[in-house]
Amino acid sequence: MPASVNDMIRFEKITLGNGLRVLVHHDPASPLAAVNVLYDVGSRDEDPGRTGFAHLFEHLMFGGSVNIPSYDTPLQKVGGENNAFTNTDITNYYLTLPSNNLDTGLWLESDRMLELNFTEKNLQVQRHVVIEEFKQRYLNQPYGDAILLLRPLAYKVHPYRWPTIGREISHIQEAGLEEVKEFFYSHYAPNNAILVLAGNVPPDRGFERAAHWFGDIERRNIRPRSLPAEPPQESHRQLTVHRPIPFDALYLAFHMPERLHKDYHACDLISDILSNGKSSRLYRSLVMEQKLFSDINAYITGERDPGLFMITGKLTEGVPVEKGEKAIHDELKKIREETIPAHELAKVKNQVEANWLYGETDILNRAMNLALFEWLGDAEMINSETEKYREVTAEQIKRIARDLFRMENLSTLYYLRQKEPLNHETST
Amino acid sequence: MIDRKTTPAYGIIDKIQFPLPEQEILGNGLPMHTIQGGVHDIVRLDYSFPAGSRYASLPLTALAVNQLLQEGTKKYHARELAEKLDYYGAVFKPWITSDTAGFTVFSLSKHLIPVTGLVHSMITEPVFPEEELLVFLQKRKQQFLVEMERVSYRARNRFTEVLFGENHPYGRTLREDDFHRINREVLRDFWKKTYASSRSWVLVSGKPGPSRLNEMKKRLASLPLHTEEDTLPSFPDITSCPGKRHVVPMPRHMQSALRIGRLTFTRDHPDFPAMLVLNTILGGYFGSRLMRNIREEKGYTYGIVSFLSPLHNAGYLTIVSEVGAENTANTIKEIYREMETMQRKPVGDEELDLVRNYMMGDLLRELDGPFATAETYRSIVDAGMDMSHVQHIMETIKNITPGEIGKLAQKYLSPENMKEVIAGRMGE
Repeated sequence: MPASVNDMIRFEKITLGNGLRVLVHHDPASPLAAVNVLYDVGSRDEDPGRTGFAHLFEHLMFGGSVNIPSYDTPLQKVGGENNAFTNTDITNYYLTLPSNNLDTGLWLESDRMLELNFTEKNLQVQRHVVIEEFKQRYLNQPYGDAILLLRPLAYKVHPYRWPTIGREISHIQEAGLEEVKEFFYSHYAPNNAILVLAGNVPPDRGFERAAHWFGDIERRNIRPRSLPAEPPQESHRQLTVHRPIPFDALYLAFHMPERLHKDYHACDLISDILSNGKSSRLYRSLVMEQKLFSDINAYITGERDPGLFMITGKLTEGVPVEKGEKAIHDELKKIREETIPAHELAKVKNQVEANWLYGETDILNRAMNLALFEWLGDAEMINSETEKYREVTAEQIKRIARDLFRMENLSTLYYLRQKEPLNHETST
Repeated sequence: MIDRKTTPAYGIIDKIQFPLPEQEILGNGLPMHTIQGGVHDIVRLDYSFPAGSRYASLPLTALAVNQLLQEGTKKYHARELAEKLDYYGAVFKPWITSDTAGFTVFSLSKHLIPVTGLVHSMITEPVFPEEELLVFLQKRKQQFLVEMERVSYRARNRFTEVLFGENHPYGRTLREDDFHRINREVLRDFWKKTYASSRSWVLVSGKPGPSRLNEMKKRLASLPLHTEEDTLPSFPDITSCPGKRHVVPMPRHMQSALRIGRLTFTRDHPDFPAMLVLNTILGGYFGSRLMRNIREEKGYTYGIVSFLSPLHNAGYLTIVSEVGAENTANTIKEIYREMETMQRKPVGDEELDLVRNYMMGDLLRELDGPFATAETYRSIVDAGMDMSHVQHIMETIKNITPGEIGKLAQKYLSPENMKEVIAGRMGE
């Protein structure tokens, strides 16, 4: 249970005749309404020869729909703001606006669920935009392509082996209009989406307006999902690359259980024990005391299918990468072999609980979380999430750490400095 | 059949209700502001000190002090501080600008008093331990050298140097040898002058509850403050670097970072509110002229924005983008074309109405709840103003005419008065 009844997120839910799930969370204290539309499609649903498509498609969703030439203009005109993101599992669109203008948001979102109106010109421009995004975030940044290298090292079969931005620019370059249409009709449909309204929207009004705008959109045949399971890794994988960067870096990726697995929360807590806050183990030991790393981080990808437990660090100048690597493994050994002290376990649980509350002050955040939990199976899980962290025991942590942190479950990337002058060394 | 062709009826925002902060000058002269409200039992604390980078004679000093307050005090070792803050689930975020520095703290209400105890120990009795200082310098130096490989960082630094002059407190940027000039004495000296100054102030927002709020007040009133206005250096004249275009060559990069802009004015300048409107039209939102032209029409970039940076004694307008190297020259040409259009042609009513509504919606988001309001309020109080400034901005948004915007564009948007910085390469 949440800390108090006050902390419960109350909501009501209906399913429209066309399969669209609608959730309303009423918060009369806010003058705003948030509208969140989650589509159950991500980069894991892509064809291996057309990676980056789900994300490119998200860009096209702003190019106008069948009855509305521009998505953004009418929304801005009523004081609204919007954005979207795509990840390996889902594509999520969200907006906030003054609550009395809720209809405008629903009108826009329902029309682009009904039918897009993309043109060759629109596709051409967004291909360019996405390619510039690819460069800006991954190729033109120091260490930017590490994640592009790590995924295919850790996954050999499952579509998580390519990143959401795409495996290579050429896949985006070659995307054609027919494929785009095909993708829309096989993934965008009321029966493949979740609509959440939050803020100053009483449930009755929310349901009535949602039914008005979305009720007549027809169901579509969703392309059935049959993803190949990643077979258990059998031996340690290692890759070394050289790049024009100032300091060596190290990336470790262990396979971990899927989002709905009973051990998921314990894995997340292990990542917190290792690197949440300045008192965390990796920071304390490897940065402050041994001074082997200038920066170190542990996190989980948190994906629906079995994901990755990641540890990434930049080595202190002059420290050999093998020495840093060994120090990380020594810390992991401690988690595997020693029972975590009660005080330390309580600490990471407190952090999770407090951070959860801090995040809940924002109605958009609440709307997104509700959509996410509904997509995972049941929005009601939002109210038992912190409890799941509370229930994790020290024994469970040790058992799971033993299972996770095995060499044959690990992919290691050495991302090393290439011996050529850097920019700041050549420029005058 | 429902009508999907016509925009649904909508309302415009005429008034915004937001919690008015209460102010009190405590016995020691410290201004304490409170914004009570919210659902959850959590509190946000904002501490602000006249400790921005401009006040230190050596670069890096102000940042180091701001970061190292949490690395050990007379009462607590750095490890202890981190342990306790993490155990309480508190979030401690130091921040720094050119003018002020401080930190934002999030805490559960039930831990507010002990958390405040830790924070006040950091403010009043930091020790700046040698070892923590060395780790800080090594970490930051490495971060700096990584940043030097980013086109965006290089352009940002060069741009402030060009606008204010390389030796001006607003213009100077970090160099590698700065990391060797910092020592404990320098830090202690700066801390004494700035973190116990009577020009500090504190903002408490959220739901502390009456008895904890009283206790907070007592603790804040017992912070020792001194008045040493004359120890803070005065503001030197600004001498921009001569020449219009400044290139930071980074020949290996596939994208260039652009910064184009000019000096403007402080937040209390009579043109400031109107300039906010002008800036929004030009590059301040997703539907801005720059975004529509350079991203949505031409596909040259993932994003282009403009913004105003009001400082205590100056201010500037900046346009920022990262573009494919081959499109650098064309992008600059288009930016100037948009400026000239704003000078030559009055803004149409439809676009202006849209921007009015968008900006009012944005204010509604910025003032939704105590924490969002605290964020907005902090920059206003830091500039020596109060919430009537927000009223003034709202009146301007509602009443400004195309003629006034045109005059402002003629005054401030002449391409010949702009400075340009390009980090990367021009292409071809």
